[in-house]
Amino acid sequence: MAEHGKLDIERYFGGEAGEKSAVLVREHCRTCASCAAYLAKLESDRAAFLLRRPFAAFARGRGAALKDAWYRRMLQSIMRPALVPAFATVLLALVALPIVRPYLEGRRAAVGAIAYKGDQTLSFVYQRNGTFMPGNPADTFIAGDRIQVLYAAPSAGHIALFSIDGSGAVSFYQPDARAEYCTVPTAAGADLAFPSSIVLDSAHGQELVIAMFSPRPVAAAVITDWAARCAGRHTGPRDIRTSLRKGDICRDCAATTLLLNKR
Amino acid sequence: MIPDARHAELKEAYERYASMVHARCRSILGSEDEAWDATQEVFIKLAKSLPGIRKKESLYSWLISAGTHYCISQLRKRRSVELDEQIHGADSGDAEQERRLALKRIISGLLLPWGRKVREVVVYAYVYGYRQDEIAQLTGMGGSTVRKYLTKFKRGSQGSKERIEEELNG
Repeated sequence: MAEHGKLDIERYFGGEAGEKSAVLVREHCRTCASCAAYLAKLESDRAAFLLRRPFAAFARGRGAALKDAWYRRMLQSIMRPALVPAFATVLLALVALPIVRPYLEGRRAAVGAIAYKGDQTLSFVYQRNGTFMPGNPADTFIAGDRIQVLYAAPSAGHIALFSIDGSGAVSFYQPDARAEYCTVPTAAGADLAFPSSIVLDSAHGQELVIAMFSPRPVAAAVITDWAARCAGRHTGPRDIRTSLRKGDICRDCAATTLLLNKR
Repeated sequence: MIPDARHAELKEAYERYASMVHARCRSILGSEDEAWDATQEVFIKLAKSLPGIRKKESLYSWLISAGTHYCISQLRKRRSVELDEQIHGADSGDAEQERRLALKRIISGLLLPWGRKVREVVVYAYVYGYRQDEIAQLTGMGGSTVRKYLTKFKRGSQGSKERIEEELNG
């Protein structure tokens, strides 16, 4: 065993020796009695051991503990190289979402503020000569038409419905004309009917109907003050509509409008 | 049961190496049953580690290392009372058994105060009988490191030779 130590023979015996090394060990064992005897001992030990402790004995004994838990089997089945890009995408989304979410929400709020000005969230039906008809902003209305405004509220709060005509006059439509506040409470939802309707007067020209949403009640004076400021800055209802921004009328207030043509 | 994917690979490794692992474990633990327990633990560990073992051609080194560390940890756990009971309860007529138990006591007493790497090198050299270059191959350490650890152990265990001889010769 001088040239070849125990380790060489054990590796040869275990099948780990390279081709060249295996040839050398084999050759050496032909001439070296002690190495040949060691190799023979390893072989006989293995045969005796496997007779006494076959693999089945191990698999039935402690090896039985190797049964994989359900979650590990599931992980093994889904952890495939082909799915790595998908996992990476999900991981990226999980990491990136909390970072970009405030930005996205800010964008959505901004978009929401613009949407308030559109007609999509403020629709109406009107009654003329006892007949109800779906409202179309492109229609022309006449004095005496009764208009029922339908609105969508993004959240529960308060709503005020008022209009500004070509002369700058402001009309409020809250059910209780004597109330300090011109707003009424509203629930969140779509196609909500304002509790009172608008009856058009005989004044010609355009009339801008504004539904203003607020988280708190708003006094009529706030709106009349705003309308007074508008009178100096804008040329008419269309101009007011175009320049209306969220928070213009009062803090935290948003408005959606309906521009009606009268004759 | 063992998962199918690893079953064949594990069976092959078991049939090829289990007898050698068992022999190594027996040389440290001194008991056939404890060596069988250790062998099983080593192959359970192997089954769990197989997917991560890159150099399958050096599985023997891995197994010997795992077996050695496991056996030393067992010695650490079962030191004291259990060990004494086994020694005193051993059949005095079985010289080989007595020799093994004495060796186990020596290993426990001399080896455990040392660090993991020193212990491994010392067991490879003095219990398994490997040469320094073979230990370097098995552990992946440099030859000088192996020498350093063995020297360190010898210096730190001054007087142990006499104790070992005393133990072995009764």
